[in-house]
Amino acid sequence: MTTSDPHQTIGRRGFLRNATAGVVGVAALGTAAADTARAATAAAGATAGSGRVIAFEGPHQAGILTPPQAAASFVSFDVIAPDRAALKDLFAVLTDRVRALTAGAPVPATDLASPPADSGTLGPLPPADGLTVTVGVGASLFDDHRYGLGARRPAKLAAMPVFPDDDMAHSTELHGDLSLQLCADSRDTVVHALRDITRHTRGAIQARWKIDGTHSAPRPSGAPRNHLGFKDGIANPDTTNQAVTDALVWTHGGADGEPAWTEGGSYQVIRIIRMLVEFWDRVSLDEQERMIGRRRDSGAPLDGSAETDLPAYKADPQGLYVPMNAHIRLANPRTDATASQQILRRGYNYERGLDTDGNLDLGLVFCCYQQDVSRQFAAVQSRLAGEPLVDYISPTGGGYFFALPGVRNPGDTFASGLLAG
Amino acid sequence: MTVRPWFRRPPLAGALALAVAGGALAVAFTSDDAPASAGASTLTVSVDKHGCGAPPARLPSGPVVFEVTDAATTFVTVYLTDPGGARAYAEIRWLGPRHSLPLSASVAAGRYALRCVFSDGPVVTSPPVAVTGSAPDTEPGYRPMTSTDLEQPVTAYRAWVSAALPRLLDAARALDADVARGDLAAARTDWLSAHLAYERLGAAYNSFGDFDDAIDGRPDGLPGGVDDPGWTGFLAIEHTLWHGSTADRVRPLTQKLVSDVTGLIADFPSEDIDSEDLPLRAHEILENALQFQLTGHDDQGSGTTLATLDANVQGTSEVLSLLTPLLNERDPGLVDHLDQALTALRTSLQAASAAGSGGTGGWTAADALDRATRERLDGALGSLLEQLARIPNLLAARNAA
Repeated sequence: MTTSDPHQTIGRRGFLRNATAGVVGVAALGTAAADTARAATAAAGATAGSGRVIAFEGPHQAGILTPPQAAASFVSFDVIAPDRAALKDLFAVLTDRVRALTAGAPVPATDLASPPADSGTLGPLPPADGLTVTVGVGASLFDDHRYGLGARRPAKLAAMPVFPDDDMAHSTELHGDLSLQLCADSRDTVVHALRDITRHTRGAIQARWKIDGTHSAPRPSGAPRNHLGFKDGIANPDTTNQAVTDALVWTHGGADGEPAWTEGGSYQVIRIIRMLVEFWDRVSLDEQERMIGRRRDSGAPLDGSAETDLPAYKADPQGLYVPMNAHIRLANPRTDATASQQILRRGYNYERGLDTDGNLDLGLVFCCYQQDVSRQFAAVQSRLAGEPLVDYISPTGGGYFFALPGVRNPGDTFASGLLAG
Repeated sequence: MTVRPWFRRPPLAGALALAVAGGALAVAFTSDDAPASAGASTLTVSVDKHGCGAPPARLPSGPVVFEVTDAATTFVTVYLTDPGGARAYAEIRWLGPRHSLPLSASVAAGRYALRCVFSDGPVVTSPPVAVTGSAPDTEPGYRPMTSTDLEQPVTAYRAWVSAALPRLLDAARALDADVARGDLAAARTDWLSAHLAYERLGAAYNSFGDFDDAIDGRPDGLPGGVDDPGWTGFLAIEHTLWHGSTADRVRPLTQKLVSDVTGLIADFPSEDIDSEDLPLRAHEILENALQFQLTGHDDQGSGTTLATLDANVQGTSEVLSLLTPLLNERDPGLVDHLDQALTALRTSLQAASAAGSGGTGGWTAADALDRATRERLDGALGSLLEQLARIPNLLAARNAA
């Protein structure tokens, strides 16, 4: 913390009034809390929900290579912190909260003079429950008149453009200064974390839009299915291979014009893609499969027999098996020239009510990570322009963000490199 | 925005959670210098009118849980205090005979005692407990307040309202006179002045009993909604004035308003004001304002809910000023910080209106705020509420604590 007013640096909980000032002190205490939390979880034994703890610290944020958990919320915020010092405070608080929540922090006792410190929605011993909270920043945060960060903008970070097949003209779910991707093994854990974070950051960020997703179970095996009934996410890069992730997922400071602080970050694209399922359900299976390029039941490419089979496009130059304009063929032509364009998809199905015609609002929260959003997502997207599938989907919102590098150690915070000096 | 954001600090006191867990986590201390996070001992204490339990004479600092059983035949309030009663650290608000509840705290080095305040009068204190050593995140405790401490602020609040009510009546009469002579343009101007005069009183949460419904009721809970014949008061008048009603249809409502305000003035001296209401009001006037005014929910056509919010901020400031001495004794700096935030919020509200298109009284309608302005106002009010929420607990009566 950088101010001397105790009410700006130290919280409502009176017993914290004597807490150490200074970001390092805060972070250190946060770590103590996290250690305590782990000890407490161990001492308490299993609590409700999965006890799965996904490590918070590391060179990269959790929630990117992490296999998708069951429940997710994607929330975009605008930063209303008045100045750079307050922005730094924001990231320190975010760090403390995410560290504690992902460790499964026990709920502190309620101070005599305060409302309960926790919503209580996960009970007195909230489990870690596989929670990850991935923090991204939007291009607008770097605007010159705001926090003086213009020179530190990640090289490829811009506001998400409108693509030709988009339906964004009246969207209220676009862009933002800050993104949070919250994922956990249960829905209530996601909501608990979001509620905790918004409470602790009131006055510094204000939520702009939010969409919730679920990760379907394999039916009956393999990749989960989207609302079109097709398996989705089959052809992802090998996240266990560091050479692959270093080449496709992570940004590297000093390379490709990236500022040094971006080392270990990743470009995040979020797209809210409505699926017009009533229309889709009135289309023949053959036409559906030719639009996608896979068999609906097995997930096999149309020239194969199993989900894991690789389509052999060189052997099918005229698209007699997999049409030239099939979604999977356009998205990933599997050529040497397009190998570096692969993205790491981490999408979730969404469902949320009805439209004015009484049709179901179902779709995909498309989320992908990549080293270079123009070389990868934008290139894929431009190849997909006009594909037959566009008649059945309607991208209605989202944004480009840059997922910050990981919090490396107990003294580190989100955006420490970005805000250094 | 000039106000800096105010963050709730994260619950760093992870160790305290073990205390919350109570009996479920009965991990014994292995030594006085064991880390506090190793766990809290759970100490069984039975209290009756002869003694407020027999806690250990010595305890290490850090989390502690007393599992307190009321062995008496009446209800009891149990405090962890210092032996002199200058500070309270934890409490069980209401414990019934033969029932048990945990009393949890994280204690620093010093002397403590349990104090039992039985519902039928007796107050007994345990032998002292000496706490030694140091632990992180211990609780500083608060100077307990008695209900008589609130008498003076309540008297002052009464006087302030009593002084303001005649001005409200004057404003209501001016409005009624406008309508009586058919000057609806003047009525719309005078409606705003009169409504704000009422809203400045901080009339949240029915502080004026049934009069509040009659004077400022919403249509939401009425069977006929905005067309309900039983809907009266400022919002009903607003609805008619801004929806093309003729003077003869507005007049019964303005006459009723004058009569209801007159009734309130006659009734107010005999209305009970629960002393605990005042600290609650310091917080909840603006909770209501967030829910009904900043959202534009209460707008019946005039587009002045931001003016209402501004009046509610003034009402909150007034209540806060009456509570300032009590708050300063218990949380130095809180009031100064709140004052700054309240002033900043008013400045932002006025700036938001100045930047707008200039509706009724120069105010911008809530639904016409641009996104950035709305976010700043939402954030400013939201963070202010997080701080105001402290006041009711801080100023809860803890008689004989």
